[in-house]
Amino acid sequence: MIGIGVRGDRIRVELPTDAVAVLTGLPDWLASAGVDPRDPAGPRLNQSPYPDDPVASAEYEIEMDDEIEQRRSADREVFTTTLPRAVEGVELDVKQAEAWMRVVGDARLMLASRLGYTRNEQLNDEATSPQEHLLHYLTYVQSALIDAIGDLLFRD
Amino acid sequence: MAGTLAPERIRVPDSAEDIEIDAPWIVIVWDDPVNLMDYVVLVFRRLFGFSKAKATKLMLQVHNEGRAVVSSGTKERAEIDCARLHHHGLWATIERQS
Repeated sequence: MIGIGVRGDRIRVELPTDAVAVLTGLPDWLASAGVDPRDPAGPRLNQSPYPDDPVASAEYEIEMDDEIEQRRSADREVFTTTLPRAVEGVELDVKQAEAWMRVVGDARLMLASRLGYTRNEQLNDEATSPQEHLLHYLTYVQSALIDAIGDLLFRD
Repeated sequence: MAGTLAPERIRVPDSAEDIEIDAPWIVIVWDDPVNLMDYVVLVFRRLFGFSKAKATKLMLQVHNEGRAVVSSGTKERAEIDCARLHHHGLWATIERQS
């Protein structure tokens, strides 16, 4: 059971201890994406905007990859420092909640890539492995964050 | 104040190459099996300031047709927009508008 919802101008997140324990590993786990060249999560998380142009890709990588990695690192830092307080209940501002949303989202992409998901429908299949159970749980968490952030930002 | 204005010179592309050089760059978001529809709508609204209706329309275009153009302009602008989409985990590429 998770508790994620708007409270004033903040988003309150309350998670059970075992969920916090599982989520604590996400940032380090994400840092491993693509370390093994065979890891399908690498290309998914580290995309080129010019997949058919290696020269343009290389130029883009020089200009933009560090910036993207810095943003991801900042997201993971926010997640790491605020997650422990979720056991008692932590109130996040919208930027912190968006950082959580992106960290959980990246973890979903990583898991789904490694599971070989190619169709939307596979997300609705019954989970039969620990990885699939984790993916379902992360989907549940991200959905709740999306709803709360949307409620806070747009209220429409 | 009296006077006449000199006619303005307008450069007309005189070759396909000229037209290609002047064409804007577009950012395309592609369908993927993982990102949630509500997430895509939220990202479009957050990054580009789209209304809920426009963001939803583009999301459905991605979902039903496989892709949608979400921005166009200079190459530099396209790369900035694409990097922001990548930071949010969306599958996005850049190409010259044909």
